[in-house]
Amino acid sequence: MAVKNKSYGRVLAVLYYIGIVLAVLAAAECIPLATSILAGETKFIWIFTASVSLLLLAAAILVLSGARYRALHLSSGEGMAVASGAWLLGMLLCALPYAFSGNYLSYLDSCFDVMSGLTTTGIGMVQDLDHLSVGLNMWRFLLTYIGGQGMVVLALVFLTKNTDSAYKMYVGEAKDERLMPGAVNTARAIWRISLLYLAVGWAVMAAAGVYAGLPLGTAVLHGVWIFMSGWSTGGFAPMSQNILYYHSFVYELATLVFFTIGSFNFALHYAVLRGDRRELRRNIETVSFTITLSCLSLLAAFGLMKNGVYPNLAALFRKGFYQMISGHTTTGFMSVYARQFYHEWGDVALFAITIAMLFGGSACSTAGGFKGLRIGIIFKAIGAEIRKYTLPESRVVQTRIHHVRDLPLTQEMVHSAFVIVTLYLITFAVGTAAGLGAGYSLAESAFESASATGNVGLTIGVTSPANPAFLKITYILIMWLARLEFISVLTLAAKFVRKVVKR
Amino acid sequence: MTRKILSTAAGLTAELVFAGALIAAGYLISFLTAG
Amino acid sequence: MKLRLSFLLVLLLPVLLTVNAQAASAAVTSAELIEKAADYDGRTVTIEGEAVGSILPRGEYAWVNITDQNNSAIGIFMKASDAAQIKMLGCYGLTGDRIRVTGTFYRACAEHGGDLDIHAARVTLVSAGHASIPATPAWLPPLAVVSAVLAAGFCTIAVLRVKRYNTF
Repeated sequence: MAVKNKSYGRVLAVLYYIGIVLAVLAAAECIPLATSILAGETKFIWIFTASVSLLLLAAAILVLSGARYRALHLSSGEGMAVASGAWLLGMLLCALPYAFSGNYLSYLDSCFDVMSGLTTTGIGMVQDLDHLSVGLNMWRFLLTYIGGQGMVVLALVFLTKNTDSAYKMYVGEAKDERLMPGAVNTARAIWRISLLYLAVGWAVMAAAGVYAGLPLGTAVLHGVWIFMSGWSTGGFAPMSQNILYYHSFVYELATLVFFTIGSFNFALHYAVLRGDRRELRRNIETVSFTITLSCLSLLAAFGLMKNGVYPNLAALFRKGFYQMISGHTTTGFMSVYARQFYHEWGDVALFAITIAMLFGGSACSTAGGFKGLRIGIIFKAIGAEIRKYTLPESRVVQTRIHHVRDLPLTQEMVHSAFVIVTLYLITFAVGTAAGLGAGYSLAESAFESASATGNVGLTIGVTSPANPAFLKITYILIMWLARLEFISVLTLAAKFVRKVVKR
Repeated sequence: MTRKILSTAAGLTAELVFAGALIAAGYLISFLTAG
Repeated sequence: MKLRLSFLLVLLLPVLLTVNAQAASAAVTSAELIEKAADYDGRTVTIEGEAVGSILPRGEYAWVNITDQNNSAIGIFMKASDAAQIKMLGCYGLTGDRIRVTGTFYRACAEHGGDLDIHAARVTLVSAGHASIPATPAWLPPLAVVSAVLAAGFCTIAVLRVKRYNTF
């Protein structure tokens, strides 16, 4: 049957794929449903039954409306529309369990927490976390794990063919590393890596939990949650004191290992796990991250010691460095209280950690921020520019970078890096302005904006259910834009405007 | 097959070691500043 | 004159001591301790809260995290024998034992890697915990059933339609 290329057909094709992604999310939501059943949480068994059904209903409606046009080859813009559309609708529907639970003061707060989880940010609006339903906690961490890898990437795993459309959707979700030929193969490779680490990490975190004094069952449960949160550089924890709850250096150390590895590029994981271990020290991102982390941590440590914040080496490491690397990898685990950043850290250390949050982790990973690849490219470009004027004109030097392969530093790469970093900076500025508009100080507004922009999750105490709605909406938009690296969301907005406005 | 498993295990170890090195660098930085 | 003054001081001394003790045993909230950590650092404080999560043993001691308001909790480092008084810990559907702790507050405890904590000198059980299972709202089960039926229906139609246009 020939598929007619009508304009509404193209919209329906986009809706079809969004529906597929939502269906996969509904399947995933059966895990917290099962958890609540096992835990005997009657109220939440009903809540998840209703939520899964409603999500599945929405998915089914989208799928059946677009099924006829599913064979259409999606354009790049349409691929992006699928990704950003799925994230938007996904957020609205995944918020249902939160909204039904009574643990959120409004539907907006529920959406905030879902977007925070999916974008692996980690700042939140949940009430009474210390008495939260086990099923609802499972959903919080599952959303983080899925969002980190990518909901589109997860959906692609189940597609049968490596179509051109599949690749366009993959790129729409801000991953552009081709681990293997074909987006479906790449998606499966990403999930295989994540599941491998899940097996190892869960065991280690559970053991660390037992060491920290948790009863075995709790250690296993917290183990999988903390692993999913750490690996996805999310930042959610099962108790309100976050990592401070465990009062354990060993536990903190275990989280450090897994969230650091979780911030690496999937292409790097793929290369290293297949045997190219030298890549770890040659890759532009690992080099960039090592340099920026060391310099910023040194700066923060000086600031903290100058203010006499921490009494000894152990405290400086477990509070100072822990928060720094948690921020730089854009994880967001905290071993201090939010207000301690504000009252104790001082300007120098806060400056260092704000920059670290903006710089972020690696590209094509669960981490956020500018990304080490772009920072590396920008510094190399600046170096090349200076060399152009300092070397004799007869010498033409081609700058190269190493990212899994040796690549020439092209104009296109430099251009793209500068454009995206500029977009991040604009976003950061808008977020800071919003904080100022809500009455917070510059330090607080900048910190929280950097946390949202970099999808970090550290908080200085700004984020709260008491925030005015405009601030919550600003942060939601920032988290979404930053996670999908702008182009997808802006493309979706542009398409919408063209369709609706320019009639 | 065995070679693949060994290669994966070696890769995993290498990543763990690298993460450990970054953490150790942080400890060193703390040590140098705390003194 | 001198005799009168010293006589007055002897009379006032117990009053002064009692006032001081009362100031120490006036309970503070965890939020206040965190917000004014520098002021309270090293001082004796009294706090009341519900024990949540798990008791984390540390040899002859143990950590008990207590919460006194929504999303605000503090770690108490106490003797294991004191911790043994606590039978119920708060979680979903359960309100934990409420305890009253008097101890030294540390903004960044040197002994515990900079943790903000309280080293308990005295721990007393204020009230025992109890079940507090949230009720299921009346509209929820009907909503769940209706949406499940609708979802099943539409999914069937969707699968059939996808099969019909199966060009993959």
